[in-house]
Amino acid sequence: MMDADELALVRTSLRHLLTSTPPARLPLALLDQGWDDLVADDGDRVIAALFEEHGAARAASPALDVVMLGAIAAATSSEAAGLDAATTAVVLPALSRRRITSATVTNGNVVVQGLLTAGWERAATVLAASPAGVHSIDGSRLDMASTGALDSSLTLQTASGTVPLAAAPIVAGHDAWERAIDAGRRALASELVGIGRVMMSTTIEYITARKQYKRPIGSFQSVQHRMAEAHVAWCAAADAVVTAYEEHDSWSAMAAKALAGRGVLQVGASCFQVHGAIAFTEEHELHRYIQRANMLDALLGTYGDLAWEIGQQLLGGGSVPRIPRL
Amino acid sequence: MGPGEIRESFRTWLTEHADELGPFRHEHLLDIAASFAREVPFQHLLHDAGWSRYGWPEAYGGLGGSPVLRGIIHDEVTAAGYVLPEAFSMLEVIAPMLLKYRPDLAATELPAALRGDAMWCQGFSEPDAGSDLASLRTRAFAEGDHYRIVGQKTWTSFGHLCSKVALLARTGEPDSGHRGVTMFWVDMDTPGLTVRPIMCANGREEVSEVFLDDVIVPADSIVGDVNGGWGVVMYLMQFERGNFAWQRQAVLHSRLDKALAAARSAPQELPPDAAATVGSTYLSLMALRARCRSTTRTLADGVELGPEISVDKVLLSSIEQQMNDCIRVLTWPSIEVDDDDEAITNRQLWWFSRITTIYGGAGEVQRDLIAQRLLGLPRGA
Repeated sequence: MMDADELALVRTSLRHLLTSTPPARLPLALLDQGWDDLVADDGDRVIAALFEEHGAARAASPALDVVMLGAIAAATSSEAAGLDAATTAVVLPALSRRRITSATVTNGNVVVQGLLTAGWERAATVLAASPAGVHSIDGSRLDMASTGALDSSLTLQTASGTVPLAAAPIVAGHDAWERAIDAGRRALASELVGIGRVMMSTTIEYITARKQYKRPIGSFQSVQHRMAEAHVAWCAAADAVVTAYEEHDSWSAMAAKALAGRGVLQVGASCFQVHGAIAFTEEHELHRYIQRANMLDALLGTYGDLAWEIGQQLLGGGSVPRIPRL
Repeated sequence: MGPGEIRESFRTWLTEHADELGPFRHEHLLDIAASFAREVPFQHLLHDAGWSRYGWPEAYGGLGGSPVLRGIIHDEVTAAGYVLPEAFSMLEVIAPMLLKYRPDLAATELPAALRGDAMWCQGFSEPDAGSDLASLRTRAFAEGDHYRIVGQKTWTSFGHLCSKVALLARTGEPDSGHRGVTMFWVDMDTPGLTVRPIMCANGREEVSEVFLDDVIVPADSIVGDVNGGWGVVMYLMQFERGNFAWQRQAVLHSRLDKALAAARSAPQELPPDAAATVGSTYLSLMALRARCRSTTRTLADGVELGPEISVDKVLLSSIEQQMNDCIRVLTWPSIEVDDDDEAITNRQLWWFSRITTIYGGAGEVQRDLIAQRLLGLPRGA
């Protein structure tokens, strides 16, 4: 476990790495920086820091692959080949209500339909998950096309194709994939928290400086209350993310992802409103953060979908989980 | 015993005593005096078996250990389906103040209160001093070895059932604002002090007016310093946002348990968006619990909190309402039309939740504090 100073140093070096490394080279760059040792020492806080800074920097990289592959490896008892993020990419589920798989198995074929993150071109191998398990597939067998017009800077790709089962061996079970989804949700929740942090701080600076009616617009009560409520929503997200890393289960990962999506979209809308017209210009940065927050909310379960899922489970029976545990 | 052991032993004890504890599964009565009276035997049982004494200092009637242990007890009582005695909230909010500023009073007063044999209230707000508490006008005139207090308090929770009041009065000049107020520990039986309950919209006499006509209190009934009352109130408020909020989240989880059980027995009455409502409400509750756990741990370490506790207050206030709205949906149309005990309880609790964004610090003031003291936004004209 690191102390606060060590973690701050790690955070700074990760921030630098994210802004100076081409996406395709990020997994190797992380390894060179001692990523495996950092994760072994204080995995939760290091991963959270990486993704918060990823969000704050609006980076687009295979960082999510690194974390999801790590989760699959950790959940797989056998020596799992091809889980090197430098050469392997993860096919995320396509944007679709309540489906966490990126492939189906039909008539002896694996039909892939999913998404790849930035830097996908580095990968000779991709992993796609069907209900049967995690398949390892030669990337050149799939078709890629760019997508995600709401935030083209994310450089998402669709990955699709049909591959005979013999050419798509299962390298990990479905339970390992579920662990990867949990890890991915925690990571994206952290990333949303980082995006929210930057939106709040730049907006507070702006409304403190910008004057109308001879006073800073940040001194008007309606503006202050909107920002206060945005801060409360951000705090709720940040606390839920801490809980998710502590509890390390699917329930808390869903909750963190949902609260982060809900909270940071609220932050984005509030920050946009109090900027007045200037934030609507293409030149201004804020809309890019809002776009990114919207796309990250969409990945691995929107807050609406996850809230629904949580509600369904609670209605289904059992006592209400008291999370975080005391 | 460590926290884990206490939790396990307490669960076992609750199970073993289930028959005896049966009456305490039922919610508060509309007659608040009767409701509190019915909870006293439960408090006695929990106290005499030691459970409600954990987390309170041994010198003051407790069994020692971290205040976090109290949080475990609150969790477990509610998770087992029992109604947490309302008097517990008073302990969480007021006792820390006595422990810090008047340990001698805590030594004589806390043991009985812990057992359930004494109740305390707060005399802060006045008809002309609600959110603007610093403008309060109840005056305490220094007259040698005593003070003579003249004035009026309102919104005093359970006032007519309490034996002691933590009373905030002005000892400075009329225009001294927050710098001229002092906290007194006053016996409700003191001559000149009269209490009048106020019937509230939820059908219960939740609060009282307290009239003080030349009430004489000894000079040594002061808590903290003369003219130092504001600091005492600020100290107390941390526990309202922290420990009390923890109790509330425990209760709200349990109420959701009961409402979900009711919903499962009448699924045809659920609206199409029930899952979204339940999920969204649960998320807000989980966020409060996560926040609160962090806050109570910081308080237990003896660290005083700053303006960030206004975030806790806003989270708490809004989830109280959101949860009661969710319960209304899950038990629909029970709150609208039914007259069984469960419906009456849920209805009065739904109504009570409407005031949660006002009591203990109105939401508007919390937002001002967050914006200005936490986010650093400039004050208005």
